[in-house]
Amino acid sequence: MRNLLRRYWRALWRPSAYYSLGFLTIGGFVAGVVFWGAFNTALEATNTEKFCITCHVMRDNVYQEIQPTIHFTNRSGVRAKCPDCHVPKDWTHKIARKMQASKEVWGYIFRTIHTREKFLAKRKELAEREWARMKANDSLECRNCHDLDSMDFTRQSQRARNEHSRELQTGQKTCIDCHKGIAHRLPDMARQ
Amino acid sequence: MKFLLALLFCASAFAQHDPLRGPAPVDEVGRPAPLVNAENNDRKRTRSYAMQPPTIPHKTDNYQVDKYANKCLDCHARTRAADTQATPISITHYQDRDGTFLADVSPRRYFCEQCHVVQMETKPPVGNRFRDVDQLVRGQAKPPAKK
Amino acid sequence: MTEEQNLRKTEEWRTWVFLTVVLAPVLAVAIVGGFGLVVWIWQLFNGPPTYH
Repeated sequence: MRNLLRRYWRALWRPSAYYSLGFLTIGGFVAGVVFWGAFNTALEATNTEKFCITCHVMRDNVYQEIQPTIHFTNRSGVRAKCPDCHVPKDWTHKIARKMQASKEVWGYIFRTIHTREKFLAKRKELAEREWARMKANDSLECRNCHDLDSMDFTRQSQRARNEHSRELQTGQKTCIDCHKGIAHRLPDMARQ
Repeated sequence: MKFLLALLFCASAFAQHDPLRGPAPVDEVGRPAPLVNAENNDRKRTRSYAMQPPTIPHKTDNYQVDKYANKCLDCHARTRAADTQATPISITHYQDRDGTFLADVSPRRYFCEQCHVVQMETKPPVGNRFRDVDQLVRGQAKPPAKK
Repeated sequence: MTEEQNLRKTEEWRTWVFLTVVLAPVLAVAIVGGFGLVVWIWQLFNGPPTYH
């Protein structure tokens, strides 16, 4: 056994005698392309609504709550899915978030929010994390679709017009400051 | 009950109808009226009498008012009025049933839409000959035209 | 080819397959995942990203 390992270890460091440079390089390159495609396909598969709602906690709680809201069903049919708001688009931050998802895997295995009661108890903490994230990046996920420069204030209601021109345009407030609860129900706001 | 039904049937023969039902005869299923949206123009409306809870001048779709959160108060609370320029809730909302003033909204006034409603963008289907007390006081001789 | 040469050729092939199908993918996932972990820990200390 040790002999076998020693032989293969040597083969690893020795130049190839029987396989051409072309084969080794181009074969490796092609394999790399195939791998990267597979890697990204797998990554994007975890970035779909369908994947998120395979977990019953998401399916029975937040997915139910979003269904009557404007981000799910509206006049034009343009709608948001889970990653549109909850996963950063920038590659570095996306990968960081995917590694952070190990927390969610932990929760899945150890059932931290398995029941409705547990979920409601932890809900404010979870919501505040998301609100803090959106506040820090100036509601970037909102702005991925809702571009302030393209917003036609003349087509908005008066109070929307007032608030957007007074607070949003001046940069005093960001989307999430006022629009909390627009997608999922608000948690128990009185809870500390 | 049967007498009333018979009367109604006879009435339909004379093309009388319940305005809420529409023009369909009583023995047919009528077409329902199309759905309409709430008025969203942010213009205050005249109250029919002084104590009337003002109607809501904007749409309130999906506004959450439950034990966890009250979306209306996010703009209409006393502490938010300067920020939002929305009409703050009146002092009556802070009183309990004995008239004592509380620090925050009284639970009996917490559920806004039990008293305050939106108005839909449609003509009223049923006539209304209500007269404002203001008109009575100023001595209007005849009732206003049927709306 | 001799027995020895054949053996060596087989060894080289298997090593190449191992490198391409096992080691390189595992290494890539480990490096990218490790990078993600590092960024996540950095964000725990420095707060969520604030870029525009």
